[in-house]
Formats: sequence, C-alpha cells, structure tokens
Amino acid sequence: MNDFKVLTRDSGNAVVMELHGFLDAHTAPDLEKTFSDLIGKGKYKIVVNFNGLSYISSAGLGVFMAYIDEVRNNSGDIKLTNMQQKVFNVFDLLGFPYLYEIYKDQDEALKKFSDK
Amino acid sequence: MRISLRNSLYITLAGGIAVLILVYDWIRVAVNLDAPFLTGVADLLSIVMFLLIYQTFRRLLNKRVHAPLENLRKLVGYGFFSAALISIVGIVLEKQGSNSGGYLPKNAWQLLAVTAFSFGVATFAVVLLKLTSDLIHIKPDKKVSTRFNLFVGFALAAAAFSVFRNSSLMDTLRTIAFVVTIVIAVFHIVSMNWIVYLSRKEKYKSLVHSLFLFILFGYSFASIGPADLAGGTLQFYSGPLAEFAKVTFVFLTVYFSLAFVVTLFHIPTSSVFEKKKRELDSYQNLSKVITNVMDTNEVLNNTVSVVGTVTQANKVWIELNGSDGGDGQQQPISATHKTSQYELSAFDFGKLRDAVSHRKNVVIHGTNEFAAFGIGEFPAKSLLAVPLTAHDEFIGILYASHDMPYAFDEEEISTVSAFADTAAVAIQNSLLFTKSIESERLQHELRIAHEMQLRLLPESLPSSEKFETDFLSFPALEVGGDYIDYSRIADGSYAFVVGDVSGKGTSAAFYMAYMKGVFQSLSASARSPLGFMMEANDAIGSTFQRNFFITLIYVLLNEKTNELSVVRAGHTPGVLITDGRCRLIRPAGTGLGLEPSIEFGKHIEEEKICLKHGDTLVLYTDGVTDQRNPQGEDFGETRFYNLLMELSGGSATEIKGGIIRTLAQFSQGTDAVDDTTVLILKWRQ
Repeated sequence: MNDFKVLTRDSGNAVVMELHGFLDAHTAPDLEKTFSDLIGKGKYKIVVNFNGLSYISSAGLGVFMAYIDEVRNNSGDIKLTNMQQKVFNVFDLLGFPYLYEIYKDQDEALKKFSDK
Repeated sequence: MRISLRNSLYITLAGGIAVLILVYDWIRVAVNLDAPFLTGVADLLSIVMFLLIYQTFRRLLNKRVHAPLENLRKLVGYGFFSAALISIVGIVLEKQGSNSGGYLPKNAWQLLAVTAFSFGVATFAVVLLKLTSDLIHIKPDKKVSTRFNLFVGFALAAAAFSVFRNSSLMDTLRTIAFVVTIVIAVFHIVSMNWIVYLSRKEKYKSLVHSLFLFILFGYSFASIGPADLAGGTLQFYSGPLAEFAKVTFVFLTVYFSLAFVVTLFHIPTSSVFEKKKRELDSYQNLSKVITNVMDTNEVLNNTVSVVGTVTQANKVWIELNGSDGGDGQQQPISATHKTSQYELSAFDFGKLRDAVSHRKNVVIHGTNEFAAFGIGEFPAKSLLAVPLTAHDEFIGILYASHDMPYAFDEEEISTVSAFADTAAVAIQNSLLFTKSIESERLQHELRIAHEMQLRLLPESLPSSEKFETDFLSFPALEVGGDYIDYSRIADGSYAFVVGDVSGKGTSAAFYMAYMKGVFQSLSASARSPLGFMMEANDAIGSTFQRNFFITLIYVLLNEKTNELSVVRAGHTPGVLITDGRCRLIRPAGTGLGLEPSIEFGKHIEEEKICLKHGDTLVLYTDGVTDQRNPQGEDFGETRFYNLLMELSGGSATEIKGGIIRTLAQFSQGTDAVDDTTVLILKWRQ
C-alpha cells in the first residue's frame, strides 16, 4: 500500500542515496540491502537524501544504526539531508542529531566529504 | 435348485408328451405302421417337448457365471458326457446287430433305450447351448443377445421344416434355415470378447479347453449323421430333434475351433493388456489411497512406490519445491523408491529442473544427453522427469530412471504423467492441510504470547490522595513492543515508565520483556533518574542487536515535595497540561542502546517540574500520533495535544476514555500501524 524506493548515484567520492515513500518494518529490508550492497562495494561515504520520504518508523531508524559503525570504522560516514519536518522530528526526538550529521541540503553534506 | 410351479408344469407336460410319443412309437414298431401324417404330428409334439425342456433348463441354469474358465470346464464336462452317450448308443446298438441307416427298434426295450437316448441328447444340447450362451454373454451386449436368439430361432425353424420330409419345398426351406443358422454361428466369432479379458495363464487353459471342446463336439457331430446308428436313432425318434442336435453340434464345433484360434492370437497381446489393467488398477488404488491421506510424506511415498511398480523403472523419486520456490537452489528430495537421498545428492539436477519447470515432460536417453544435462555420471540409460502441477501451480518434479536406453516410450510417459497429475493434487492438498494445522498452532501460540504479555503489563497504576493515574496499552499485532510500568522507590517516591522497543511483533515483545526485567531490577536501587538511565543504557547496549533500540521516558514522582523528575531516552515527549495550556517535557537524551554510555551520558539531561493542583501529565508512544484514518491522515501531535487540553478537566480515567473514543472515531476502523500506549497522571493537590 505504501511504496518505498531507494535510488543511488555516485557524486564525486560519495554516494547519494535518495529515499522515497514510507519506511517501516516492511520496507526496511530494502534499505538494508542497499546499504550492504554499497558497503560490499567499498563505498563508505554515503549521503542519504530524505526529500521524498514521508514516514519513518522505529524499524526504519534501526537500519541507519546497523551500518554506522562499519562505515565509520572505514573512515566513511552516513550523513542525512533534506528531511521533511515530520521526519526530522522523529530523528530529533530519538537524539539522532547527536549521532549523525544532519544537513538541510544535500550539497552541504557532499561538500563536507570533498573537503576531507 | 428350487423348482418353481411353472417348471414342474413344463416338466410334467414334457414327460406327458414323451410318454405319448413313446406309445405312438411302440405302436409304430409293433404293427409296422407307416403313417407320415401321424409321424409328422409326433415330430411336432417332439419340438414342443424340446421347447419345454429348453425353457426349463434355461431357467434352472440361469445363474450367470462371470468366470469364463468355469464355464469352459463345465462345457468340457457336459461335452464329454454327451460324446460318451452318443458312442455308447452306437456300440450298444451295433452289438445288437442293427442295420445302419434308418434305425428301427425291434422290441420294447430297444424303444425305451432309443427314447432315453434321444431325451439325453436333447437335454445335453440344451445345457451345452445355455453354457455357451453364458460364455458369449459374459460382457452383456444387446447385439450379441439378439444374434444368439436368432441362431436358436433359425435352428428351431430348420428343425420344424424337417418334419415334412417328403416335400421338396420344405426340404429347401430346411436347407436355407440350416445355412442361415451356420452363418449366424460364424458371426458369433466376433462375440469372443471373453477371451480378451483372460489373463495369460487363463488363456493357456482356455486354449486347451477349446481344443478339447472342438474334438468332443466335432466327434459328436460326426456321430449323429443320418448314416450313423446314433443319428439314425435320433432320426427315428424325432426328425426335428435330430436336425436341431446336428445344428447345435455344428455350431459348437465351429465356435470352439474358432475360440481356439482366437485365443491363440490373443496370447501375444495378453501381456500388454495385463499391463494396462495393472496400471489402471494401480491408478485407482493410488487415487483412493492418496485422496484419503492427509500426511504429505505418506502421499509422496505411495506415489513413488506405485510409479516404481507400474513402470518397472529402476529408480523413482520426487523433488518438491521449497516453500519460497523457484530460487534455483538445490531442492529437497522428498521421497525415493529403490534409491536414496544420499545417492541422489551426488548429482546436480539443476538443468533438468529448469527444463521441467516450463511444465513439460523431459525424457533423456543415452550418455550424450545425460552429459548435456550435467548428470553424465548418473547410473541409468534413460530418465524421465515429469512436472507435478496442481491448480496451475508447479509444485515439484517426479523422476523415473531405467537401466535400459529408450525405456520410456510414449505410452509409459503418458502413464507416468497421469500418475503425476493425480499425485500433484493430493500433495498440494496435504500441504495445504499441514499448513492450516501449522497456522492454527501458531495462532494458538500467539494467543498464549498475547496473554503472557498482558501479564507483563501492570494491572493498574498506583494512586494516592495526592494523585490518580490510569493507562491504556494496545498492541497493533497480537504482541507488541510498547512498555508501561511503575515501581515504588525505597524513599516513598514512585517511578513511572513508558517505553517503545523498535520494530513490532514477536521480536519487540521479547525485548519488551527484557526491558521490564531491567526496569524492575534497576529502578528500586537507582540513585537518581539519570543514574537509572545510564545503567539501563549499559544493560541494553550490551544485549541488543545494533539496529534494535528502546526509547524510554522515566518519571520520578515525589509526593512530599510535589516534584517531578523526567528523563527521556529518545522517547516522545511528556505532555504537561497546566492552566489549560500544553507544555512539552522534552529533556535531551538519545534512545537506549544507540550509543555507548560515555556518549549517552554526555547527551542526557533531567528536567524537574513542580506540580500544581489540576496538572495533568501524559506519557505516550507514537502509536497514538501515527494512528491513521481511511484518508491516510495521521492523528498527529497537534490533534493529540488539543484533545488533551480539552479533556484536562476530567479525571485520569475520564481522560483515558476520551482518548480511546476519539482515536476510535478518527481511525474509523483503520488498523493501528503501531502499538499504542498512554499513561495519564493527574495531580490533585
């Protein structure tokens, strides 16, 4: 009923992951697969663009936690951008701003990666 | 054998006529009378007598026999006696020095002997005809029946015409009737379908019997010609009877000579016929067995063993698709006949499987073809793979292999396919049956889990003169990940907690139970709300998977100081309704299990509130605000906070009732996406 879609594309030394739709316990495995594919290819600099995402549940939040350690251990990061207010509130409540870099705009995040 | 009134009447009448004829014959012999008219009358009477005997025996012998061989045995017995009777008469009368041809008895004793003999021959002819008729009618067929009655009719006609011996017209008619009778007899050759149904062994027996019968009847026929003593005797007694006996014996001779030949021709095809019959029997048997059996393994084992027996294949086995099916992985071998899973596991049937999965039979012969399918080493020279398809769904494959090349011809393949189709439906049914049992069991387990989890929630929350509480908690599924609890601290204060385990369903329920253990063991001894959270984070971080976490809001209520301390680990904020306004209690803090405690400790804060009379604190999980209506709208924070302000005048229980009613109204039956929990604390003082 609620579709979820992930699109990935390379941008410089980083990868942009665009999320669309409804991320919950049912659709979380799709996102997990995208993450593990990227990490499998050795891509650790990841920008997640939330612009198209309208809902995220706790299971969806868990996916980001599952990969963050591995990504950071390989001197990469997962940076979150372009969140709708409702989605940001969920992250904010949970204290994600302490754990992740969250940007208003995707380019800011990409710039952070290329500066390094 | 019960003799009915009608039969007794017939026999009495026949006996009367016999006595009458005997008297007339005696007069004929005594005075050497030659009165053709009277003799004609006597002959006609003899026909009537014969008909009466025929009717009687037809009734008496009406027990239809379904085993052709039994009939053949009886025929040989009666045939032997009739042949013996005919030869004895010949020998006895010859010894008495009778002249051959146109026999005339010389005294009363000879007359009696002639009468008894003729009676005997007539009776035997009737019994033999009846037995043969039964044989012909073993497979009831109207055409055959008509033909047989025609035969008897014409035979009687031939007999009747022979009464008027001196008329050349009658003689011609008699000849015509005789010829027609023989023609009809020849047509009876096609009425030999009883031979087809004999087994090979029975056919050999039938061959011997037919030969015997041919000899016996041939001999009998040859012995009752007009020139023979026996024939002459019959002729003297009754011309029509002699005629009828002749026709009967000709018919029997011809019929059984042909039966002999037909049986001989059928022997080579009998093995094919028997095989077909065996297949049909097994097929019926299999259908019966497997449609009554609900155990999948039993159905599978029956199928392979029946196919193994019917086709005489060396090895038979069935592969069923896994539950997710069609993923190209090695499939489990579900049943085997004359082979084993162990033996088969050495071969990769993947290519064959791909070919069969397009729902067609695949037959391979010879080394090259085996190699082409990647099973060159397989110890067989031919292999047949048939798809198992039930309700248009491909559910597995039936394999049969043979040591001989080209062992599976068209017929064999169609037989195996037929078995496969029947078996597939039965397998499918048994699988569905098992599944429904399994799902019933799971539902039962879930009901138990649901009840268990209900017991993990408090029955009620504490209240006192200063405050009252109430709560609601509904899992979205049978079990959920929402947590609500309280604890009485040593210094007299109360700790309330509302939490939400990430995800939902069974896994969340287990973590929720774990959380209860953590809360109950830590809260009583915790030095402070912050201290509790730190320890809880330790306990959870070291136990949970990385992508699982718990959000928690913890409230410590000190009745003496009217003071409330709130710590929040990533949970939805507490809502304080004070002076009709809504204030969110949202101290900083990340979810439990997200960060190691050093980091966690840096981020978490505590918020203290001094309660006033009429203040209401509400703790909730996001199931409340995520509740949707049929239009796909969220209930949302704004609506929720407004509702709380509206309800804040009431007691805790009234507020709870208001929330439940409003949510039910809003959702209009839309299922909750997440577990829903609300705690209401109302300060009275």
